[in-house]
Amino acid sequence: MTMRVTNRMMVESAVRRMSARLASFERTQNALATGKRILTASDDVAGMNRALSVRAGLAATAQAKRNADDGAMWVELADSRLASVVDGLQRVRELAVSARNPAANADALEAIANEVAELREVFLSAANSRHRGRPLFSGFVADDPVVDVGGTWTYQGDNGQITRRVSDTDVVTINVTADEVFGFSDGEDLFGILDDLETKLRTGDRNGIGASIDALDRAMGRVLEARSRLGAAGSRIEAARFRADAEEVTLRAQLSSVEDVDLAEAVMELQLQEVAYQAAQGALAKALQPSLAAFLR
Amino acid sequence: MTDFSALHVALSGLRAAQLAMDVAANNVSNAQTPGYTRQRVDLRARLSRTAPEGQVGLGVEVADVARVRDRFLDLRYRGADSALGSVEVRAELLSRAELVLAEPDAGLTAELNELWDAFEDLSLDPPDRASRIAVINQLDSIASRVNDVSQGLGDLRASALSSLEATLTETNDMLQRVADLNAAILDASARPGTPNDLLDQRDVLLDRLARSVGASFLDEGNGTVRVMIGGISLVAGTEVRELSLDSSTMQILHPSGVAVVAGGDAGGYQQFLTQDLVDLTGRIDQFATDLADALNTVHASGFSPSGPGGDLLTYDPTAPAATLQVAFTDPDLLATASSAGPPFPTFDGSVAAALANLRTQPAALGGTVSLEESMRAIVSDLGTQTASAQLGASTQRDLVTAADVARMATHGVSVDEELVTLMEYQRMYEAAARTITAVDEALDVLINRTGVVGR
Repeated sequence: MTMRVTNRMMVESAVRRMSARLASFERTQNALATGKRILTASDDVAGMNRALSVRAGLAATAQAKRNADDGAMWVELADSRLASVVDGLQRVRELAVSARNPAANADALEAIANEVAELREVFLSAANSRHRGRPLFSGFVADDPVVDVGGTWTYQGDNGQITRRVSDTDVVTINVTADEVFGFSDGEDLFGILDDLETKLRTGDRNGIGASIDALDRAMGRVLEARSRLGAAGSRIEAARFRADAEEVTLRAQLSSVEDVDLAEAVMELQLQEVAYQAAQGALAKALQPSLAAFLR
Repeated sequence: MTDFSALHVALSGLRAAQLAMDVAANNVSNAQTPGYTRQRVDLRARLSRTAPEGQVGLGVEVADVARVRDRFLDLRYRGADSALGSVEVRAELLSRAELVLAEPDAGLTAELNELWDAFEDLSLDPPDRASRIAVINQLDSIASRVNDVSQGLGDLRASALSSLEATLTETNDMLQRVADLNAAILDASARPGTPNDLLDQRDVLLDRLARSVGASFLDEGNGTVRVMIGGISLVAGTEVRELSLDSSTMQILHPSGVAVVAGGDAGGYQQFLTQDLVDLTGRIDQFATDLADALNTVHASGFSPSGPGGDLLTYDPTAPAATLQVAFTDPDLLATASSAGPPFPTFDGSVAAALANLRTQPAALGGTVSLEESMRAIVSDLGTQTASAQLGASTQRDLVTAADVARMATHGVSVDEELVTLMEYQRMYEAAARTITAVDEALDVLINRTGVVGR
């Protein structure tokens, strides 16, 4: 038996088909207008899940890059301060060696003592230098790390290790403290050594200068060790920064492939759906015209 | 009735054709009327008279003007439409819940990412006032976003509840009208003929009852219909049992106190209110609790210049998501350092860093997943439910369409067909009229020309 086709059925089916066409037309148009393939989770659950996870990864990576930039600046600054200390220490050592020369008279020793005192001030300002108001070498403490308390040089910072997270897993310590760099923790601080040297120079104690030179060499060793630690931290940060850049590019590409509309494909699809919609309209217009009434007389 | 009964016979044909043309005209007029069932004239031969020579027919009579209605097709359509009601209502509500979560751009996952960034920026420069204020603002922002989600779900609940109530009110109204129609149809059955229009009206109501509460129907044989849900009668003859809603348990109650298992739209609302929404609200509450507890635990291990860190976020355990808020607004109270000193470690950001580390640490759902993952799971699960409900709705819609088309094919009016019928009966009418003319001519011969031989 062939199916009866009634008028209402024909109209309703045609309208239904047409609105289905229009709905998919609208969906494609929406995707094109927003540029996004996924607007809510139900559009593509797995895709949404990945998109959210990639977004979290991107945020963490962007933050890690900021951390690395901040850390790199800090390390660079501390290192340049310590470099100036190394230069100064070399000069002090040269002066001390020349002071041991018996040819140096009392005036010469006095002049050397003055220069040593001058350089001590330079070292003190390096030890107490700050970056954006923050002491570079005092750990977590806000005060100047090295102060003269009643004639004794004292370290008044703490041993706080300032760290930066430069990737998901990599945390880099970026600071050294004046405690270690200037020998307070070893009970032989650079400033005390210089005070001692100055006194020996001013009192003409040539024989004692030898011990001071040894102490200066040890002080130099401590500063160089601190610089090598800063250097190592700097290169770890740089490597992590490089990886973070690469990772960010990869994550962005992933996010785009999950979330974004393929424009060429979507435009193509829109075109096809427009044609299909027009075809449905045309079919409806044709289907509703014929009636036996037109032919009966 | 001995001579020329052909006159009466032809007259019966004339009348039957006239009536059939009336019915065809009525069909054509109602071709687009919703719920109209095409009508057909059932003709039958009148009982013959017995002449000495044999049985002679006495013409035609109209047995009934009947609806062409297939009960099986009704059953199929109503079953499919009831199931569609449930799944369509649920899909619609679930997709509205998705909008409340506003993922991926304006949702809680984005807020979480910003919160971790704010903590981490703070760890870079702990005493920086701008960074501290940024953390407080971001805490406030995520707390109010959680409040918004809670509020949004509350609004959704209120809206679904009022829709469910409106559905039941409408259902009760329809039950009453079915009972009234039952009475009218019972009344009409005492008179000859079928009350087609009343039956059509009642069928429209039965369609709508199947859709609204998933009611099923039983033909009682006397013309009345019994309306039932899960075997419990709502309309029996002319008696109505109205449904009511217990808005605390979301149960739909029969006057007997029995909770009925409703399908259709009401079933969809019920399922969303008692399962989906309860589940989702619970998970958002759990998220709010996890977030506050994780942050507070880490923060409590730290110190600010004014002492150990207190709570960052507070909430009322009876409604965590709705009441989540920042515990303090003074940025100096943020405990970023891991010790109190003295001297106070101003630049110790390790607790701020530890707070930022909650980005990846398993701090939610009893320490099994990270907060971000727990939120992502909520979004994904809701997405899966919505997508499967939408898919179910679209599949079910195809079934309903197929059932509806099948019904319209049988019950609906085809104008072409009616025109052909009209022509058939027009010819029958003409033929019957011609028969009367023929008999008339024969009588003319008998009356006027008989016995006039040679005149």
